[in-house]
Amino acid sequence: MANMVDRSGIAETVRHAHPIILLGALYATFTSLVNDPPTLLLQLLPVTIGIQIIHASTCLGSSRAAAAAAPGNKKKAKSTVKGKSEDVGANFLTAFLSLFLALLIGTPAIFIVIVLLGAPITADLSHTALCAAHLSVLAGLPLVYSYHVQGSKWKDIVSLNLPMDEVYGGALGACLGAWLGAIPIPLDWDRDWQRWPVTIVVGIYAGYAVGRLGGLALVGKVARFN
Amino acid sequence: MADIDDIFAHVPRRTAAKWSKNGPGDLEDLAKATAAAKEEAEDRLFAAQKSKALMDQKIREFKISHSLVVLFFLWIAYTQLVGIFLFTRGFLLTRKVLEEKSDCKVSPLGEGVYLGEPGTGCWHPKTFDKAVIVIIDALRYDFTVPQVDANGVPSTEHYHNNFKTAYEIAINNPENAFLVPFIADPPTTTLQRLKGLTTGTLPTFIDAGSNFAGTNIDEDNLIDQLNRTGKKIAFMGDDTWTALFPGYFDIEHPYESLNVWDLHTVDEGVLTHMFPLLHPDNSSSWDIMIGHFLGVDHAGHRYGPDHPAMAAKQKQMDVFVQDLIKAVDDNTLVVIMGDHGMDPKGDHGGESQLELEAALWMYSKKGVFGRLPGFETPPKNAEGRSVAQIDLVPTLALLLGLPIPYNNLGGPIPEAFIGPNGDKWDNLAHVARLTSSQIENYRKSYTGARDDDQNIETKTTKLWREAEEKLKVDPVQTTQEAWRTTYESFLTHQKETLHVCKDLWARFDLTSMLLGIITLVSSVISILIFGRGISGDLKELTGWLAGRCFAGTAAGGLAGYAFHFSGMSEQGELKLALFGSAAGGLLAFFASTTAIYRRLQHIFPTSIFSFMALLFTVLQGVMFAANSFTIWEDRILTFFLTTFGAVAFCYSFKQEDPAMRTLGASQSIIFMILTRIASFSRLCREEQMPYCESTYYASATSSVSSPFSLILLYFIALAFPPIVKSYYTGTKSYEGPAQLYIGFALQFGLLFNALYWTLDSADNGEWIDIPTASLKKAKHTIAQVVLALAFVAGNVFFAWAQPCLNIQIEGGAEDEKTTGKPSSPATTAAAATPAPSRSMIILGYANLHGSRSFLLPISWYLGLALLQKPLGGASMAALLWQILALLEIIDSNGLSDSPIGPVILAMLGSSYFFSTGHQATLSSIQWESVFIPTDAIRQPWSGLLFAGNEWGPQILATIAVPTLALWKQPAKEAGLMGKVVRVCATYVAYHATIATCTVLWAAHLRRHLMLYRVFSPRFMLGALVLLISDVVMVLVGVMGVRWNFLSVGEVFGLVN
Repeated sequence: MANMVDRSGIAETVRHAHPIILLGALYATFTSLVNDPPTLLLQLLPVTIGIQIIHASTCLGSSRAAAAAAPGNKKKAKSTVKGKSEDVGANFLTAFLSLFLALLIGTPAIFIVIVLLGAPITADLSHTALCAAHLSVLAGLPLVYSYHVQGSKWKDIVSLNLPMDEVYGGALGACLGAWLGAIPIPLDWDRDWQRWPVTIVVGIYAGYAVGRLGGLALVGKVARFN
Repeated sequence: MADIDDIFAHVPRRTAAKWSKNGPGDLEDLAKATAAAKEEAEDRLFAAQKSKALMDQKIREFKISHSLVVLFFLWIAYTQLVGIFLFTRGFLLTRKVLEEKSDCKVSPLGEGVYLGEPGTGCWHPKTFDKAVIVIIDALRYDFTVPQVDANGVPSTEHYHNNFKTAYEIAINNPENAFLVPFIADPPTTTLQRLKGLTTGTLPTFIDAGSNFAGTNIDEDNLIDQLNRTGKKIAFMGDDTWTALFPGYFDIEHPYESLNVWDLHTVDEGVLTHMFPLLHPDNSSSWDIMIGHFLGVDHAGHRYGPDHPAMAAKQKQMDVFVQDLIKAVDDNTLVVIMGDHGMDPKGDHGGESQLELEAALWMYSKKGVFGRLPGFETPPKNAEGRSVAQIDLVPTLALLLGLPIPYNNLGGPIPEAFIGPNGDKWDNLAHVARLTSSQIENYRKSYTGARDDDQNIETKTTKLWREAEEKLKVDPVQTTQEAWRTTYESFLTHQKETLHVCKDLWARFDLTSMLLGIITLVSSVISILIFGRGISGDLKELTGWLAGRCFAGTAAGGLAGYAFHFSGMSEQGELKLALFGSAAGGLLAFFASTTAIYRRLQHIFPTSIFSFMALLFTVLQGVMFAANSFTIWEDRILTFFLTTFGAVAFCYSFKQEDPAMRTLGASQSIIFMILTRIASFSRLCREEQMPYCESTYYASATSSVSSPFSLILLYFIALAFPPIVKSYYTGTKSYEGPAQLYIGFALQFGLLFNALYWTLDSADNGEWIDIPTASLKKAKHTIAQVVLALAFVAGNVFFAWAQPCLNIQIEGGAEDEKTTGKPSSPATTAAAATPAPSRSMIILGYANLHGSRSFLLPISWYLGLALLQKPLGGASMAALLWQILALLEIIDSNGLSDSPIGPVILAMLGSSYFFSTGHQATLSSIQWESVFIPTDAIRQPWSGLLFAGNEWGPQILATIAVPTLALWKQPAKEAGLMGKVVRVCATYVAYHATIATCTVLWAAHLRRHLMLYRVFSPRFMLGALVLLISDVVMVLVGVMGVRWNFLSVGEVFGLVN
């Protein structure tokens, strides 16, 4: 993956600003998130989507773009610079397609998993659904953008067999963060922020930011099972 | 099959070869040939004998090494038992019982103050000659006062506004009666309450378990005092009384008290025997009459408060009160009270407000009762005014002219002494002084008995002395106002003493607790080393270790016993010997491990699954430190189990083989969905409210199952056997005994199971017009048949059953199928040799051990499911299914060596404990399950039935543990038994860790507000689950493996 990542100036800026903007957006809206989770989650979702699309289309290489660029690289270095402006449109299109897939497939799948893990099944459905949507936009969108729908890649993604990179690290971090976010819910502290699904959403965002850093640090490593 | 060929098939071939080599020649040759043939025959016989001898020896070796494994697990269980015993002895509080009795002639105020005698009143002039004391079990205070909402609309609950007479009289004729909330000291079980109500002292926690066998009271008490002053007592009702006071009653009519499904027998008995005695002609035959009704309590246990049966019971009791007050004369005191309340579901035992709030109503035709200023009418609830239950003891004693029992800590109830106008403060101050002085006497002898420092004037003595000083100032001309302050000083003294005593009896024996903790922690470490820290085959090592540990245990026990005589420790010899034995065994274990240090390996996780196993265990152990996590344990287990399912699902995609990948992924999905579905069946504990909705019973205020769960049982009877079967058909193992267990026993057993609960519901709801007796008989017969099928036939047949195998021989033209399984190796060989062109297929070989081994959990499931309420029976089916899914997940992902299998299995057991309507609270215990197959209590059967209901899921999981190591494993793999040992040890290690953590937290948080509500019950649950899984593991699990290996070995030869 490392070779697919764009190292140009704008991309670097976006890459470093991205987690800060995401966490900043969550931090700025935290009070309203606690007061009315579904409304705020719905308002925050387009913002997150926007950030994710900009990040994906500027920083991440899609595997198709990489495949197209790979032979071009050898010929002349200039063409990548020239191709950039043409690619931006295509990248945005890919990003929107990824968003569409992530929301269409990712959200229901994550919703089901959250319910299986113990989320209420009759109450607070919008809370859970929006929480699932946020996770799929954060974790799923970049993955779809990078790996499209290649069966073998997704098999590797699911079975933790993929070499680590910032996309994969972020996705794993977001899932782990969501899991850890459930821990404070049962405590009898009677705090407003224990309301469903505030801690999960915070876990997702924090986990995503940490996971991206971890992915960068451990780039290329494959999780070892046995 | 190679072995069989070696042993049998080769013999004829070798003979044939010899024959052809020599050839039939001259006579000499012929003779030689004959001799050779003879020799050959002998050879052959010898070979057969040799092989048999070899086989026998292998079997013998297996049996010996297996017995040593059993011994080793018994040693582990013993060590854990000792640890828990030592901790419990120090942790569960005890109170010293003093033998002294109060004497009628000796007033606590000293000589010459008031010299009474039984005729006029011992320490104080008596008010009544006779008394009728009636306990309506579980008469909660809100049952007795009108319940209206803010708009004045009467409550429509079945348990409100039925029991009216007491309240009406207390309002209309205040001088004749008063009604107050009557607060019990926990635990709220009838036995404990009766002790409190007669002795006036506080119960200690350890007594809570003895409800099934009431023991007589040694302490001074009201009944004893009545006997000593020559009063005649008539008793009728709950037989707990006769167990507590054997031989004390002149007339007695006890009735079986624990059959909570019977609402009427006890009550009818009390009514039948009480009213004839109230007739003036019989008045000389008794002085004190005690009646104890159980109908209200049983209606609560059986149906819950919000049920028409409860309303009917309360109305019946109301009529009884009306009849009673008509029948008594002027000199008789009437006391009607509840001994405890009931929780929203109708159960009791804990310390929630509803369980503690009983009602007390005192009545007499003499207008002697008054009111404290400000409390003229009965309070709405206990927040206004309330009376402690122990206060009844001095009150009754003084009203009836008895001495106050020596160890009483209660104070006189002011309403009974203040006079109809509410102004006799002097009388009240006098009785309060008597009570306080007696309490002070008791305190002195109690501290004396404890050898504590007596010279320091305690706070209570100071309070008492101050109160006495107030009297001395001007004993004659004191105003009522001054008397009132005197009374209040004595009251302060009583309250303070009670407070001090509560503290004093909450004193823990820290040494004993520490010894227990050391034993338990070392035991956890040793089993972890044994189960996970030793590489290679564990079987041989186990025998070696078992011998050393037993020697260490014996030596340590003797050393501990001897240490007692050195006088260096104040602990009793039993405790020292037990601790010595446990420590000796553990030291021997640790010393032995140094001898095999080459085989030691670190136990830190190396893979994601062993990491998960460790993480789940540690997280659960840590979470018992927080009451909120302990309260929400059920949801947390669901969360962990689903997490495992999700990770297993992801991991399945690593498998190269598509069949394995599909199997692993699909079973993981089934596992997750079943976990979530089972989590819908639950009974919330009080602390989970309002974030929890109980589904186990028809409604939150009922203990009847919903009709939906009955339909579910029939559905399971139809659909579940095919599901179990599908796990056998995959490896073609649905052969031989499997058909019998699944196709016959499970099928019919489940139908009977559904039928039983249908009849039970019919009985409860009175759906059909069949006499209760015959309905009961039918119901009990069905239950007995199912239990016999599951526990007797299922186990006995398992010992003899052959492996789930079939031999299929495929020839050229026709497919010949021999039915049944080969009875001996010879027949197999015979079938194989004559027609070498045909190929032989052994059906079920792929899961040879696992398919047979799992028959045991199947038959136990049947019996354990019957013992659960209908929804619990359905949960048990889900549990068995989930165990099967787990077996497939473990096998398809190659995790049979990982600790994750046993840990998840143990967590499944714990999780389904909640899905079968249990909680780690005393009030959630389903006592009524004892009466499923019979009407009477017969030990030890009743105890076993109770355990089967309470810990059914854990027991089922424990029995399935060995199968984890056997499922789909190669039949002839060496070290299979060692694998079983490892899996079993890991399973025990999990439960030991959980139990030890609950012990540690209970010890650490022993002054926590929630100790008795949360931590102490969880500690008891953890300890009991550990001991039960130890026992079931050895007796059923490991023994089952023995039959399994022998049975498989009989066909294929034993592999060690």
